[in-house]
Amino acid sequence: MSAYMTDSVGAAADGGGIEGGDEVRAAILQRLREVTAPDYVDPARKDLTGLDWFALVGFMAACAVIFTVWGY
Amino acid sequence: MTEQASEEFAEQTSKEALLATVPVAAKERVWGFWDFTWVMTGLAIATWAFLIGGDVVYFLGLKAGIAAMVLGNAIGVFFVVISVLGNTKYGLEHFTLIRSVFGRHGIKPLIYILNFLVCIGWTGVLSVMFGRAGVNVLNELAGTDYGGDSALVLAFGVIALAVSWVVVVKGPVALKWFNRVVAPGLAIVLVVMVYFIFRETSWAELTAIKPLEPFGNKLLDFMMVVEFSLAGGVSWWPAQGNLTRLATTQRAGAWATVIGLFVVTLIAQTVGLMAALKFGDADPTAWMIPLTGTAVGVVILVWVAFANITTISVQAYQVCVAMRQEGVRFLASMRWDVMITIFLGLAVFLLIKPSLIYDNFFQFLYWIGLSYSPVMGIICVDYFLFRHQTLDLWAIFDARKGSPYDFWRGWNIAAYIAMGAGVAVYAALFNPVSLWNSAPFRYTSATVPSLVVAALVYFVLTQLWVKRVGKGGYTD
Repeated sequence: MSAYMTDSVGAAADGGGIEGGDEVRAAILQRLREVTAPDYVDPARKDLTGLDWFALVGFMAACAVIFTVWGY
Repeated sequence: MTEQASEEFAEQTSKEALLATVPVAAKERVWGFWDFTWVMTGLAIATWAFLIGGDVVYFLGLKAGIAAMVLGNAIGVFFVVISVLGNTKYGLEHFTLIRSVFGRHGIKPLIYILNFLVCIGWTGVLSVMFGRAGVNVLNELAGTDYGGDSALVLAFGVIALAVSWVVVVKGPVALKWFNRVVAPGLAIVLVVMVYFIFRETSWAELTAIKPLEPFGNKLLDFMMVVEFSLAGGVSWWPAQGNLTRLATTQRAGAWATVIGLFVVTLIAQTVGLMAALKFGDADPTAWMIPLTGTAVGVVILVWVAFANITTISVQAYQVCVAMRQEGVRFLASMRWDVMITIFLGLAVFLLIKPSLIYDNFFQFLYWIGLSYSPVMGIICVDYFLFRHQTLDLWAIFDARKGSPYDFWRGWNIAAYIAMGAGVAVYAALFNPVSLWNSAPFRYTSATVPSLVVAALVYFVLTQLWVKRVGKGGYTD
């Protein structure tokens, strides 16, 4: 979490800096508080592992090379 | 729709559009790996897959065509997958996340010009396809001989746009019902086409068929197809950012995308290429009746036309909602039906001479490669190298002057310089209109160098300039 982020939570608590009408600002503010809370858990936050990257790059590269050799 | 009702709908869509920028939380993520794979598969089996596969017939035969499509799609889809990982991680809407790269005002040209023009182009292509399908059905049933550029194609195309207008004005509920039936129907079309192709033609016969208008230089012809396949992959980029934010994990989002937009798309494109080779015609609407007979062919063409209305409607809805998001007041308050009329009305110009964009569809794809690839390169450098896959969510929504992602009054000049460099490199390598190409193009393509150069220029400018003057909220 950046220093700015910590500061801005306080600054944005009244909706400052967030654009839109009252309802929209309130919805964004509430959601930002929820998803930046220290106890917020979301499996999507887990980045791809080294193995994921290896498999992803490997699969795409293998397909590209194999088909190019076969077809070209 | 009365004026009052339209104003209410305009207000509602504006609010929906703004609320759509709220980050998705874990509890709202609805697509695990299998669900998302199904969604991606439904997207992949679309009529444009036949168009892309069909256009390969100009340059390459079956085996080389498949190889070039695989190579191009592999690169294009790979960059799409990694450039939207942040959307999954933070549940952010596509262009909202990009505020951290281009600035909150800097994303507006991407929405109002780039994305808008690309979607107008797609709408034009699909309405011509509807028109051609309609004319082919009429020719078959009434024994007429209207051509692909006849006024009747324009008339059918306008009907497609008018029906789409009604669907979009009705809002998302109508779109949802259309969507549920189109993809399964097109999957059946795919199976039927494969059956009829191989009932009369063997694999060996298909591989022996020569392309229609090759340059005669095998490497150049191969790269022409790689280039528009790359662009076809890259063209998913804006839609993909919004879809992957509903995936439960980054891994699920990435692999489902690979299966749908790479594997399944390639199957559909390959079927399109086989049909195009068999009939010596790149236009999918010209294959169906000769391939399957009158009864089945007419049903397929009607379905293809129906599918195109769905796609046009989805695009029109998404573009017009996006136009309401980023604080341009007159667009946010514009009557919903007027906005849809303007968007769909602009596509009518592309119907005046249908063959101009439809029969040069691959050139339209080249323009997409030119437009999107530098942006994707820039996003990847910013997200992975500078931000280390960590964004400041508060800063993304902070519109105040001096906030971390404010850059220079909401514009990241470095991103636009890098984008310009990427576009210049593309233009130096390849002309999407005349198909002129410089010597390196046949080895490098134009999209890949454009992406790489934009990424490099962005890296250098950010490292030596943006970070030093304290802009962009870079913490290291």
